[in-house]
Amino acid sequence: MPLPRLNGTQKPTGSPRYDQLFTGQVVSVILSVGFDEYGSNRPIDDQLRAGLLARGLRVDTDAALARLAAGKRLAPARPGDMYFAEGLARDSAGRPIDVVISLALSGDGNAGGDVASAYLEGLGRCDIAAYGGHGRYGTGPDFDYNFTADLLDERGDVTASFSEYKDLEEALTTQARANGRSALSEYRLLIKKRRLVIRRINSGNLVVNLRNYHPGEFGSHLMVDQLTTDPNVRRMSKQKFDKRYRMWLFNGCRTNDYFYNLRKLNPAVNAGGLDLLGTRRIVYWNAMADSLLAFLDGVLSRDSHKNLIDRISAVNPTYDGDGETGTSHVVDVAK
Amino acid sequence: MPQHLDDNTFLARLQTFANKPSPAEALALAAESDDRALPALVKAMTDIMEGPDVARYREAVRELATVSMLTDWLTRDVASRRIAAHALTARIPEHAPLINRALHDDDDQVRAIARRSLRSWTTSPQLLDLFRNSIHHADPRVRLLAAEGLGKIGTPTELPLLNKALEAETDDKTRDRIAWAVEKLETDD
Repeated sequence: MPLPRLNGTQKPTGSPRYDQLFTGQVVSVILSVGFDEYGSNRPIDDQLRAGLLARGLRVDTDAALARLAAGKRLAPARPGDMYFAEGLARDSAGRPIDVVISLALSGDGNAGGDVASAYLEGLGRCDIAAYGGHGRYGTGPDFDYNFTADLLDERGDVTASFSEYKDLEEALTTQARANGRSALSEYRLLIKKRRLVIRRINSGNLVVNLRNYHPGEFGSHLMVDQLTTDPNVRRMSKQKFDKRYRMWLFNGCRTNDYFYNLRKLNPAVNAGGLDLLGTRRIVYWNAMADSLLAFLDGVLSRDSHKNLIDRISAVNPTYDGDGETGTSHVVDVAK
Repeated sequence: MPQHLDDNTFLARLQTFANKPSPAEALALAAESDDRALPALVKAMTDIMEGPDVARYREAVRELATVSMLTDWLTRDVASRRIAAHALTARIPEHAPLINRALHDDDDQVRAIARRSLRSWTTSPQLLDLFRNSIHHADPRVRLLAAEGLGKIGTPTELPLLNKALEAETDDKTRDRIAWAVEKLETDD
């Protein structure tokens, strides 16, 4: 039986509810960048900051906090550097809209739990939230390392250690090939024999979904396995949200995998209206900053839904390996 | 013997790949054994986020980036050294001395990329030497990973080194990890 899911649409009609997003002549935005074990997230931080400055925003935390208070928006618990610009957008009557942006950046992944908390807080307090980073095979945003996996020999001595599923996949692919097996079969066998010991590091994960929508891929099994068996993992379904309209973009690989659970398991966040934007295919780190900034440009220009996903898709070209055509992004519009 | 492409064809295909990478072309370019493909192959490997092609891009980099090629690239300009550092893996014993070299590079990004390679490894005598050399590195994160590695694959003969490192350690997290390694190896004794 196929797993239940919502794909979103490439051809939406209508527009986001800008009148609600821009209430009080201000819009509150959080931009976040997830973690990559090879440091691919690090340049994105700088590109985002430069992109915000280039758009006329400035780092001015005091002004940003004051404007949030005046606009009856919540302030972040830990403000950090906040970006602010007066009148960067216009409402439908041509009146100026001030823009306040906070960032939640994973950096070197050492404070993944704190960054995840800041992002989660931003999902609730901001009008618009955008995440750029790994989709983690449909499981949810992630702001730190996931695990350490030790490979043991017959005597129980460590022969190899891994902190990333791509490394583990590469090693198991080589080992499995020699044994005439697939990497996944090798993984299952080693787990069964207790020759692969995985220590979870999930404080930076926000789990949206634990269905495995990609069973043909090794990494999906590892990701779902180690999140499913972690009783302390942070589930999005358990988060509280007040009733108001929001827009969320998840700019990672195949993040429309998140849509079904976000609709079914979070009635509170859907009650006030939630427009979900995500991807329907693999995306790439080299387009991450441009994607988040294109999204920001689109909402500040009051793009229609269709123009918005076209704008983001324009900076996410298809690759030969994708086997995909059409827009990279889709939207599931609030009912 | 593989049939190699003529120079113009190689460069044209390399440019096409850089604009629109695919795993099959990555492997084909790697088979040319021409180090001019290294930047594009490394970029494709680091840009891809997940999916079934991840392992194939890695395979291409491993095939092209020989030890002698990486040794050469680690003596070049900063951009080249960063690319070479991305191609290093502590899973290959012969890369361990190169990782050690990259960990002491003048450029902080080269050092950071090399540091990340200490998180995934396969045991070897060269790796053990790398961990021993790194236990007194200037970066506490390198020292932490070295201590963790020594705790996992070392023997009690490492205890004098680890105890000396423990005495000198000023970083809390690293001290904890060195203490863990000491206690583990004492237990193994």
